[in-house]
Amino acid sequence: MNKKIIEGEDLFFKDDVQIVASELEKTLNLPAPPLFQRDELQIIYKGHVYVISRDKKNSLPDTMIKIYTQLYGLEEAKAADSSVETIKSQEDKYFNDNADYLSKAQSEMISKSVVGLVCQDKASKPGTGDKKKISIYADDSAGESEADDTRCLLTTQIGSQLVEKIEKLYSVVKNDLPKNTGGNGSIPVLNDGSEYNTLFNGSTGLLIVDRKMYYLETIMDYIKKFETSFEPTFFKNLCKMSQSSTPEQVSDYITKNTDKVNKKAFQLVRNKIWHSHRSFKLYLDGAYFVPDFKGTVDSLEKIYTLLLEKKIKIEGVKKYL
Amino acid sequence: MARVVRKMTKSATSRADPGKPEKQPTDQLTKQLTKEELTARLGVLLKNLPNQNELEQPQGMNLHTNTLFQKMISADVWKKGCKIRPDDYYTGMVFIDYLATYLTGEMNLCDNLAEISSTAKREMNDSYLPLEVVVLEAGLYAKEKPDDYFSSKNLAEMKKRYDSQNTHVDFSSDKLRKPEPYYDALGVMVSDLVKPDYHRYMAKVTGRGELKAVIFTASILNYMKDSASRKKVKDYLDKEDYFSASAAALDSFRKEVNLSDIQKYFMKALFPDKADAADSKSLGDNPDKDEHDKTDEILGVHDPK
Repeated sequence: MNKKIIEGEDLFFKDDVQIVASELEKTLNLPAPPLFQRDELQIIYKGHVYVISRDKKNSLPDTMIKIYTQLYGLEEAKAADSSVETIKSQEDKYFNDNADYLSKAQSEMISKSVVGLVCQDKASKPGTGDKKKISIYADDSAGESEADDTRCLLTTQIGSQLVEKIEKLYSVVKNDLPKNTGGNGSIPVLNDGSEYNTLFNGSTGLLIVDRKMYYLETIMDYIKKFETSFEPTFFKNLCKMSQSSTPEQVSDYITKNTDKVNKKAFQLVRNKIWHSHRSFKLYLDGAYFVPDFKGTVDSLEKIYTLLLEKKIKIEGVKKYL
Repeated sequence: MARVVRKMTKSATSRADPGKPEKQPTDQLTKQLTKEELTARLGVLLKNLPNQNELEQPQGMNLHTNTLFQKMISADVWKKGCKIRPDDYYTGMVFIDYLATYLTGEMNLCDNLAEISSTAKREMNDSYLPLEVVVLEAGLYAKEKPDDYFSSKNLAEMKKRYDSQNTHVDFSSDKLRKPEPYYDALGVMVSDLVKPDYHRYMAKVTGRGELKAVIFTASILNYMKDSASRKKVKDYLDKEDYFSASAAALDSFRKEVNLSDIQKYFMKALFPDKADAADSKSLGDNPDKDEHDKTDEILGVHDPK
């Protein structure tokens, strides 16, 4: 444990103020984060959250998902009467619902991370920016006014150092989540100030069901992964036509040109796009998408939890210092 | 000459009765479920069943098919890669899985079907088998089992295997995962695995094994001719004794199925213009030996050497 002196020797503190880095690194053991707890298929696209609408559709709407032979619309979170919540509102609800726990965790973190501080903990809602008072052990003989000034200077310095350490500690990497390239742009990226959307900046298209995560790839992006399986000219034409064609049309085009497709790749590529009236289909943002399995949501949830933990710790610092 | 795909050579001469129906219906369900109620219930059943395997999207399989297979097909059977025609694929796979993992506990049927597919590909340029051939082959496969294959002792063994895999869902539990459109659609998918006549038997199932047993039994009933046997099987289903229904169906079917049935199928496929002849006389009397040999080869009747 390194003892760190914040100010010079002429300070009037009874004890040095000491930052204990190992305490700062400790997990807050947060409750499971929002967003991935919904027990039904959901799509997160450009920062928007969609679930399958229970109202079946008979014609092609702006957004549509087809499961087996059943055609449904997609319900977006923004609707006033929607049962789905935006990511921001889910996060706010998370902070509210766990306010007591988070506040206590923040208080403990500050108390243990900075020896020489006493947090006057009051229940408050993390994320609200409320500033709580702290006490620094001080020698009263120096005079009230001077002590106040020193306290102010010290808390600012300690706070800056703590935030810097936390930022470094939680330098979360975006992972290898893909950029959305396929939509025609009718759905704008949602910057709602949520931690999730701030990190990913609407770059991710995900389908989540049963805690399994699938990247949403446009048909063209999906085909591109198999470039070497196609005759070059045909591949170029296929990519071009796939941008403005239905999955059925793309599948037909491949089927009619089997001689230009690697035999082993034929079924793998074509069937996932479309093979019959029982096929899956997802239409969103002016494009058709193919879900590609990328593991469980555990890895993303871990990143998201770290993201929330970072926010809570920094808010804790700001609240008490 | 021996059928190269057969693992068992003994013919069945006497049959054991799978036993009288014992289980009484737990719910008379005087009100018939509507199609939507049935599919929603099946969707909830599927949603609440743990996966049987965690294989992900092999061979370009799409999302919902993958989910259904994770819920309904064991990894061992899936990996066998049985080639079944698209329209019959899901039913055929559940049928094979139930026979292999619940009843017989062996994969030989998959191997037999693979041999038939392989030869059909060579001779007909189409390796994908219809459900009819899968069911007929299952009947022939069971026919070659020992006479006492459905004895009380063997049935007890099968029942033990069935019970151990018949994962149940408690529909009254507070922890029951709620319905959602994705699984509603999967409920539709599962209900489509049997003809509408058999939907009522699906309405009461609460376990994975029960659901598979209904699909297996209904598949056999599609081709079973003997009315007394059909009635007996349906009586079991009415009593919600799904295991006995499936065992009785297979036992009865093996008594009536003959190699000529499956030969006729391939005769029709290979020589459609002579299908009438194949229907009207036994293949053994068929004067066109080449044609006969060709169907035999597909079925593995001839030793290739």
